[in-house]
Amino acid sequence: MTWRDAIVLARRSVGRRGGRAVLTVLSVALGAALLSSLLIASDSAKQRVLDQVSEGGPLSGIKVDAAAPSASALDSDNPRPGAARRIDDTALRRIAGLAQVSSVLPIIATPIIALPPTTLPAAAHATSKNDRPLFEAAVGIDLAHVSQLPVTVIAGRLPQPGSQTEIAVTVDFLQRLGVTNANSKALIGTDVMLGAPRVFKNGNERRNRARWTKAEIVGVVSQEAGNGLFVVSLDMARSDRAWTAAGAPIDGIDPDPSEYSALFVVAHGLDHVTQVRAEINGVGYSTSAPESLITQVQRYVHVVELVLAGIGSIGLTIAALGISNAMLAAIRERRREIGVLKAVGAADRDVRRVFLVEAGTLGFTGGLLGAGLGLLVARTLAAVVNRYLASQDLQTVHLGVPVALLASVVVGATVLALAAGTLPAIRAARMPARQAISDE
Amino acid sequence: MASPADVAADPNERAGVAVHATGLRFRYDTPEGELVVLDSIDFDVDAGSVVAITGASGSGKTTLLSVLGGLDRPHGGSVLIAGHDLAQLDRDEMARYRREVVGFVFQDFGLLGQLTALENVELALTFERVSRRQRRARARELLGAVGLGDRLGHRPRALSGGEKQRVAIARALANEPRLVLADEPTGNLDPVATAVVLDMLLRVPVDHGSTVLIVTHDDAIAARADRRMHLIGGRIASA
Repeated sequence: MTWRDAIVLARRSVGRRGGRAVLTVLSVALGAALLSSLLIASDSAKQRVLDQVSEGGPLSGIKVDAAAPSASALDSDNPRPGAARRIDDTALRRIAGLAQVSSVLPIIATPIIALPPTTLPAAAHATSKNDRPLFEAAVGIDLAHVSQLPVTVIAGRLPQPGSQTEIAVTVDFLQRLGVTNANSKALIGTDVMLGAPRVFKNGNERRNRARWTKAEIVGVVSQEAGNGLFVVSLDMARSDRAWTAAGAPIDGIDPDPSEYSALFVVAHGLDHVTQVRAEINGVGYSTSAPESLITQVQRYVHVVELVLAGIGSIGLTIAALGISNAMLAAIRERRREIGVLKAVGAADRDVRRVFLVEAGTLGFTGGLLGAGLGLLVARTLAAVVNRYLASQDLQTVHLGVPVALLASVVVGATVLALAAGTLPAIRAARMPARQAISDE
Repeated sequence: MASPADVAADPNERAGVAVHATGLRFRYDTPEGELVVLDSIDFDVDAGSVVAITGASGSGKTTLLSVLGGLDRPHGGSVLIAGHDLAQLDRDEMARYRREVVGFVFQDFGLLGQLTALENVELALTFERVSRRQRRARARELLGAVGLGDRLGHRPRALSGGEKQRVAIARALANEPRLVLADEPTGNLDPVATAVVLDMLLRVPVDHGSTVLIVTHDDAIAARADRRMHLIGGRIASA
């Protein structure tokens, strides 16, 4: 008997006992839905936690400071910079050429004087009054490759690459203004005066001046690319930095001769971060990466995933036992049919195949329905959770369609159903032909 | 189906004997002890004949049919059919024997309710890995021959008793069997359907070259067979 013939016969047999088949499929579907919804929820939670840890950047990101490494730099996630050391294009190319390095992006931080808007939109509900200039920094990043940087957009968008007039502000800036994340959208479209400072020295006389730019806030971000309240294009940061550097040193700020303030390196996977950090240290630069934290978080989350998968699997196993029970009952009811199959020449393996295909069909159908139902449940839960998170001024959770996870639930349900159907199928196959046909 | 080589290798067949049983013994183990159902019986059945097996309930006639059909293994003696000694076959060989040598017709028809008439007849060829097209053509031909060419897509529940038994006969003939074994084939039929079904079974040796063994309580049916084998207490009383 071919598999195709077995499938046709099994399908007809399942269809003939529609009520029982529907109930069996539903029990598998519920088990599969429980498992898939738990796994989707834990997967999303893991992504959320890791995003939080990596600030939305790649998990295998490494920050390279314009400083020499210290001896114990590799033992810590946090930077332990030694003496200042310039990062220029040559150093950038050397690091980019290292094995297991996926990408290298430059970061330019430059001092900036900011004049916040004296009148904020009413919708911002600002609780502080800011009519004094802020002496801060702007962080210039490669806005064309922002997905490879630890930057997360909270509201609005990022400035256009190369823009000299668009900026994004950080959450810290919102706090300075007394604006909550929930009201951050209200700031989009308002203007900030940014001044690149410069000290003019004439003998002993020092005069502080600034080159002012009227910049529009186009977005609000959370970022770990550099220390600063404003995210700007690389061109804007480079231009301001050159303007400032052309003057005399600013009191309280060490002159920074480096072409780039830092680099952000992405390794080919979390497993290679330690190796890449060591190689960058070998090139002569201090590094930092949240690899230990991420690894620990992944470990803890994995434990949670295992527990949730275990709970879900119990549901699926109960459903599989239901299949086993239904199959055993079917065999008792279908002794005569088994006898007829044997009378017309079915070998034990043919009978076994028919019953296994029936069990597999129930498991596959239930798994498919359950995976869909699980996704629906997870999305519903996510909607409820997101409403709560939004009300608490927290970043919401994004649920994708985890195709591989859902496929594995379907495969798992089918395999479990096949396992559950094995004993009944063997029992049916081993039934003596005359005993089956006599139906006694 | 048995190959020509099998036929040539079987000295009984060459001698015109379809079934050669010697010392055939079968028993059931019951809580009360061993119950001998077939008690060392010897008989031959001529190829191409129709044999009626009669006897009272419990005389062993259905058990004899089960043994000859490979549904049960004899506990003693030997049964030679189409070159096979049924006492020596293992489970797989027994299944192959049923698939290739025997066709069954049951009192309750034995049709699968989830399949159409056409598919029920095809079923007999499904386990032989005959191509779908070939077995479909064969099933159509046989159902046409039993007058059910217009009932191909009907499920058993939509057929009368006589029609069901005609489907069962078509299925029994699908694998071109040497032996057609019918257990009370008219037991559930009205007189008209009985006559039709009986005529068909009696024509099988002529039309298909098979040997037919019919278990029956009906003397009228037995009277139309070429030979009658009467069992009493597991022994052949008259043949």
